[in-house]
Amino acid sequence: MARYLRLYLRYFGQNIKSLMSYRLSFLVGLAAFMARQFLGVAFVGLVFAAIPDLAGWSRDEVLFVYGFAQLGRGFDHMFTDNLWILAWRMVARGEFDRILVRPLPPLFQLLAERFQTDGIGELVAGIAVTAWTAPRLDFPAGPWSWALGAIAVVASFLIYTAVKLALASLAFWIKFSQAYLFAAYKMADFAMYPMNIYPKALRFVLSWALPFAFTAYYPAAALLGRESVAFGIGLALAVGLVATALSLAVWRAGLRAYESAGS
Amino acid sequence: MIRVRNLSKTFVTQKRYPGFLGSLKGLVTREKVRTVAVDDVSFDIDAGEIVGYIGANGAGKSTTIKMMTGILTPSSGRVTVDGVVPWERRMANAANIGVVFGQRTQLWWDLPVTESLTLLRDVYGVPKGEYEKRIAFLDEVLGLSEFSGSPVRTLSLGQRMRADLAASLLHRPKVLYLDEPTIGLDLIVKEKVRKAIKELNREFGTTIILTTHDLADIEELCRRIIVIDSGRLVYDGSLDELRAKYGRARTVRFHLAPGAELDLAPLSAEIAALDPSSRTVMEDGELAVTFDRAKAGVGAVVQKVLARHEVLDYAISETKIEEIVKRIYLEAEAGR
Amino acid sequence: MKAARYLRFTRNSVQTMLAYRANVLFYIFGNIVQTLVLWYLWRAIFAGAGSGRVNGFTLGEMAAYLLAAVAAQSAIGGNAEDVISEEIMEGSIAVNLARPLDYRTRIFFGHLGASLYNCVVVSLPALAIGLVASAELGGAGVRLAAFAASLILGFALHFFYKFMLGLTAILTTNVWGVFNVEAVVSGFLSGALVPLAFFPDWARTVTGLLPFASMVSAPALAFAGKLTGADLVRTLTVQGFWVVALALLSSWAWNSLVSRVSVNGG
Ligand SMILES: Nc1ncnc2c1ncn2[C@@H]1O[C@H](COP(=O)(O)OP(=O)(O)O)[C@@H](O)[C@H]1O
Ligand SMILES: [Mg+2]
Repeated sequence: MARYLRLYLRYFGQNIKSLMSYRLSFLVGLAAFMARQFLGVAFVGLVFAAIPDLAGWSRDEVLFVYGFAQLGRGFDHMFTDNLWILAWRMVARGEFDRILVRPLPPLFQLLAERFQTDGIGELVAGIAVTAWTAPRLDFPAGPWSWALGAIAVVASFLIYTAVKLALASLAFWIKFSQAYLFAAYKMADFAMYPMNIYPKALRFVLSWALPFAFTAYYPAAALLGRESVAFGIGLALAVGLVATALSLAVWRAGLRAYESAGS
Repeated sequence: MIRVRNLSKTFVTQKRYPGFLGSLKGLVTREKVRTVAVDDVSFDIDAGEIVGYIGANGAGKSTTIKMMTGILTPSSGRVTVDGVVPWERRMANAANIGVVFGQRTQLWWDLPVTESLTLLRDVYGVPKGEYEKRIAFLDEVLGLSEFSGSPVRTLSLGQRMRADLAASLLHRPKVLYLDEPTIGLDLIVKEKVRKAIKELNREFGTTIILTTHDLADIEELCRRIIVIDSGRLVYDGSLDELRAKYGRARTVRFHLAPGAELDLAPLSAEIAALDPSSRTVMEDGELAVTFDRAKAGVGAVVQKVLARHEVLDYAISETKIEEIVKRIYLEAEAGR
Repeated sequence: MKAARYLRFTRNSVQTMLAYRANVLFYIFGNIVQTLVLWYLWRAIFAGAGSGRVNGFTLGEMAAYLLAAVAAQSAIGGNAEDVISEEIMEGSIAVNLARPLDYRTRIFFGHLGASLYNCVVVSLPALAIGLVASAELGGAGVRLAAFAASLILGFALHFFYKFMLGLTAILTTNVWGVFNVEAVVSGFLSGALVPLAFFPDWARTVTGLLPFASMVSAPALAFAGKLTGADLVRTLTVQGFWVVALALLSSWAWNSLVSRVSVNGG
């Protein structure tokens, strides 16, 4: 364990070094994701200028859900971004070969090889929005809430990563799978707003098929006292763990199916 | 050290149709194409051997290597490398082996060579003092210090290959796989790479499997060669034996008079009547005839050519290994 | 004769989209999802508003607006920026510059192919649904004609804009980041997400000075029947202005950056 942590830090250090040779692009990426979050907030603001509440949710509550959604997503973006590269070209071009001939777990290498600073933009925006809205809400502050919030963020991180890992692994069979990832990430956009604005069938899909509802809405609702803690946070963690286990199974099957690339 | 038993790999790919109409056709039909890349191959390699693994383009060399390194899972058959089934215990296998693919670097594109090497040092857990010693050795045989501060993406092909070789050797692997390590290199760098390979084998007894198109690599490095054609093993034995078996082959090269009309087909047929395994071709503006001198005498062949064409000059040469390998392929083709 | 040489690029680009149709379909799916998110949001917003109108829109008009915005966004989409940036990063642009074809024209015809493909698979279905959803508004023929006129101008000015966007690959390696910011910002300012009528006055002043509203908002408003008579003429004139302005600007950008391309491409 300690060895892996040390190695991760070694990879991380090298990442930062290569980053230094692309400083402008680092800033551009950061700006991109900040801008996206900022406009997301602006969107909610504009809409609420015209109406008092959205299906029973106040502006601050909606923003809280929105901000909370960015936290797990930001962590996922920072630490597992190489899965996009896997889906986009590593498998198709046979670049994955090198990972399989080194004496470290392939998934560890894959994730360690890339730290995506763009995700910091999401994380910062998420922290800013939650920190701004939380005190304005009727919110039982204290260590209990913090602990629940932290668990919920971990669960959300796990769910995002699990969906990404499972879909990226499809590339082992079909060579390119980034379109599936793209589509799934669009589905995650549903999770940024209160679930009760959607029809039942859609809510079902977002809860039990691509469980993005557990990345923000249910946990935030639990923190706000609109759902039970057991459902909103306990179940979110369970869903995160189950999804992770399933996606790891897909990943392992994918490794066996990997065909490299003819030269 | 390495046991390969009845190893096969079949790839299934989607058929693509060319052209605009073809892409419309692709909307409705999905035809599968099966490629048998490696077909029931078996061999054993002992510790300390250098084996040349050769075959034409697409013969299945890289696919075999990818199965021996654990990258690919075979369709059927079994491999053990130092007792480990590579694709079942990848990490254990990876600690034992080094791999270089001539076509693709295993290094980090944006990092300077030294950074890549020190990262690999930590990945393989090579102690610091030991690392210094090994780098000194690798620097001596490969001349790393020339470019060790430059990012991999800025290296020339030859430099990149040397860096890749160094990276594959840091952990002193028991087995080294080299897939076309000299492809695209100039003669001086090729010589350097060959020397390094030889040195390594002598010094540490590293087992080496090498694929190449350059038969000079084989002549200089390998005592044993394995030849595959269309996925099937067609020869496995020593280079000397191969020479003895096909060594009776001779090649006569004719320098034809300018303007002389050359009709290759009937001439080729006439010579084939003497020796069915003969080859009559135009090469570099010269007519080259290769044949078994036990079947067709040199005199007879020369007569046949002179009877049909005006010849300015001719020369008789012992057949190069390249020619022998071509003949093995041809026999394998004919045998099918 | 000459046009035929360029039309080849249109054909190639349609062919590429067909070859990668699985990918393309999933991207389309992504856009459908986005439209659905917006639709449910608006439905909830109108339900919460009490009165039948929000910022001057009825729910029917909003549906028509949203679907027309999706149709317009896809129809003008193209792929100019992707093609250009890829050629710049791979260095293949040097070879293409050496060909006896005008570079921008060539890119235009490729761009057109991708747009045509999007038109067939996204815009037409979206418009069809939009027509049904907005049947109560009446005057479908007039609305469609106004939409088409505005869309053509929008397509033209958007092409010049995307051409310049592709050239940013000369200036930065994180093209992906740039395109991402651009997609978000232009999606917002063009009115694809929220009609510009929802913006506060100062923000409307800003969008009035930028070309984005001419890309999506203008045709979408026309389709929703919110632009008629003098308003329509004024909007089309503004769009025409942007076509000319962006054409000139992109020529200038091309001429001042092209020398840097040939230096890099070696
Ligand atoms: N990943 C792959 N997918 C499909 N076909 C492949 C793949 N890799 C190799 N092949 C096919 O298998 C055959 C053998 O290829 P390869 O082992 O690369 O040959 P060599 O290395 O001897 O040139 C070729 O016909 C090649 O096209
Ligand atoms: Mg090969």
